[in-house]
Amino acid sequence: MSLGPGDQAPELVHDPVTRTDIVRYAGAGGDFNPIHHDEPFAAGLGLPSVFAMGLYQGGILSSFASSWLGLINLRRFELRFAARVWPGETLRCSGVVTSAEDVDGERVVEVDLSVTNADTGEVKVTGRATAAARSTGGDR
Amino acid sequence: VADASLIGRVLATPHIRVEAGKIEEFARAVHAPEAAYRSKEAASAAGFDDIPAPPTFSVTSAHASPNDVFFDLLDLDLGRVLHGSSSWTYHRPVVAGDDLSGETRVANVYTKPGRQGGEMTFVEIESTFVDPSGAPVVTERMVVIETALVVSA
Repeated sequence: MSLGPGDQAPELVHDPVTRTDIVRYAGAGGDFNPIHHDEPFAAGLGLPSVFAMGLYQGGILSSFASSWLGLINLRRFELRFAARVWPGETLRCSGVVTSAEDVDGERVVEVDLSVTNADTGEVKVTGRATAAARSTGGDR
Repeated sequence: VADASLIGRVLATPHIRVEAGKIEEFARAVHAPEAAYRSKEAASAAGFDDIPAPPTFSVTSAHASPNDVFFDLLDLDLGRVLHGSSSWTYHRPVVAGDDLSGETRVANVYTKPGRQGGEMTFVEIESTFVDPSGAPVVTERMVVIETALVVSA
């Protein structure tokens, strides 16, 4: 079975974001801007706490897209950062196929993606992916 | 403030030796559960030549974080800089064992009026990663925005 316009990904709701999640991403991704891990530094800037780097929730969205579309099928992935993510927020990932076409003999789908706050609906990140539609299988 | 004279300037030449252990660490950090990120056998079953990297893995070359030295080169005020967007185009999968050489350059600089006066500056930064034969593997494009400096009356 291959994906077509209107097909939706099964939604995924993560556990609330912890400071540990943010620090784990800082180490893995190499972003040591203190605004993301140093509470006194963040407070000194007038912020209520540290907050996650956009590429943390962007990375979560990329994982969601890869599980749904199959990493090997991914041709292009795009993120637009809309709002900060704070510790304690619960994030929901969603995705829908917006179009399908044949490109060089390969069926390719365009997909809209988002990360939202599961409680308030606030949009945190939007994404777009282009993927070969030859299977719906993930890599699990 | 950055301006159009910066277009084309090379900001960095990052190098990524793609290692399986780093992939596993990064996959855990972005909540990617697939066995393919952790086992060569699972990767092979999923169609990869070796353990694949997650989609945003190229950011680990440390060219993408907002405290990078190249924000100085761009003459951007770090206190007003936002990460607007990022995109990746995959020419083939990135896998463990890859030895990638990148070139990070300023692709575009433009301004728009700020909502409360002043000017917002948009800087598009593109990093192209090639393998040792020179074949393109992944191209990453990032847009950073310096918000308008509003002078209060």
